[in-house]
Amino acid sequence: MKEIIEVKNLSFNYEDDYVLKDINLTINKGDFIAFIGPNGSGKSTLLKLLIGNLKATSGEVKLFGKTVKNFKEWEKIGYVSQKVRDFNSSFPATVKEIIGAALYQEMGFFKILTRKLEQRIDEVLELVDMSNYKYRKIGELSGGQQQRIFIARTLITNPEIIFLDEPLVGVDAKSQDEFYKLLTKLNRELGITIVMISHDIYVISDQANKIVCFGDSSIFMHKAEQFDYINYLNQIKGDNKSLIPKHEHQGVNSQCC
Amino acid sequence: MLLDIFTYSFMQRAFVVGNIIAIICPLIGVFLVLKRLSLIGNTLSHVALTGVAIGMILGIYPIYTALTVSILAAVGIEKLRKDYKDYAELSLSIILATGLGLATILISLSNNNSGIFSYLFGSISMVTIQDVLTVIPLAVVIIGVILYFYYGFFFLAFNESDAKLAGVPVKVLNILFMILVSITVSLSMRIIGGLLVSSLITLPVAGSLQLAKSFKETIIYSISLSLLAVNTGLFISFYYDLASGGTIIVASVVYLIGTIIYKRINSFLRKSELEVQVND
Repeated sequence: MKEIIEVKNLSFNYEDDYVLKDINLTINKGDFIAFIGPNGSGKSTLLKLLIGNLKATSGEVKLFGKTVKNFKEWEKIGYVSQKVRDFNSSFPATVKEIIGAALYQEMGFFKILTRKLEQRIDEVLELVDMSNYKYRKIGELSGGQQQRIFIARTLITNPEIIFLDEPLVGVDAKSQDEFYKLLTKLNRELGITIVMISHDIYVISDQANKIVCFGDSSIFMHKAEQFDYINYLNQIKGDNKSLIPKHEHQGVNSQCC
Repeated sequence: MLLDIFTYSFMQRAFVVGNIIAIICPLIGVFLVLKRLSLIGNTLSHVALTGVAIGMILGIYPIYTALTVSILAAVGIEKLRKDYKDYAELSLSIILATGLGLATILISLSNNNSGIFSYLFGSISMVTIQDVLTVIPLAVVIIGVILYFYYGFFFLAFNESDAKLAGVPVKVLNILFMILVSITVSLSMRIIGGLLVSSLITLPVAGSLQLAKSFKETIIYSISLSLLAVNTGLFISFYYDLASGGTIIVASVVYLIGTIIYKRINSFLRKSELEVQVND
């Protein structure tokens, strides 16, 4: 297995408060890794450290064999954030423009789209099944559709790894299902490594091959098939942290359906 | 005769400079508004006043000194924006206060109140051939740079951290953009005045956001609305002997209200059309 990300003795703190302490982690090509853990346990912090958006207090992160500081091939890395929170939905741009912007490095002298680049936009839109939305304004799409567009934007540079930071917050159940199918397709058919933060432990532990649990400033890596999520959820519940386990709605409105 | 206006050489110069400014102000403005930094024009124009006053005291062409001072301030804003990451507007207040403080002192020293007045509120009768010859090449530079980095600036406005991941040289483009803003502001002071520059940077964009369905359309509509406003303003200010800057801005406000009403009517019509279809 080819190692593409290596984290060694990584720590990050705000003054005396350690968010992450002495973390070690290896991510191999083709992995589908789920980051799970309560709010504030450092999942997003680690993702941001991995893509160089935050600077570690100590330790190092290596991407494709190079330290984050010296890493230049950012096109190999895709990042999809929690758009519901940090994206201006009335931004006046079409799907085509938003995806096209990601081709910045491949544009010629003038940073504008050529017909050849536009063809690539069509291809990725087809991959995420959104071809009919090319000229629609991004703000007019639903949350799930927007996330597909952001996946398409990441895919256009042929990344080897995609990081997703709780991409499904505010997305309805049916679209979530389709979104997971899409991720599995990218992982299995195109061999793209996926690292995803999720609170949806039932579903993610089904899709991922490795689970990384966050807690007490540390991380613990499990193989998905060995991960006992029921036990994990019970522990979390005991901790009274902000996770709501899925339940079957038994006995509630049972006559209506 | 309506076209009498063009027989005056100062009006010809005013129209040339006015129309060029009408293109560059909203072009820069679209990116500024979308970056949530629309008040930057306001800050830089106050700082540019300091430059104008320095120029007058030293006997140098004031646009040049305004340019130098506002470029320095723009770089300062960009630096402070990093120091106060979550309070981007605080960097604007700091620079604005510094600029206005210095400008007030320098203006009181310069004893040339009428000259300063024309830079504060704009004056079409005072546009010189030197103004025309300064505005044309710098406008070409601004338009050229924006076109050259079009998608880079677009991505920066949309999301800085995503832009970095896509290989956009975020730091360089941010500083370059701030320099473009300072040039735009300094150039526009002659016609619409330092106090009103930021209006021409933001109002046409506000109107365009009501109508546009893409980023490209946002730029095209902003420039069209601004060209309309500047030309209407220049005509009216000439025939009714009004202050050019103020007239141009009032004209942009009227066009902005026009776009808002147009959008309301349009969505009302569409809604009733849908209802008719449903009833059928």
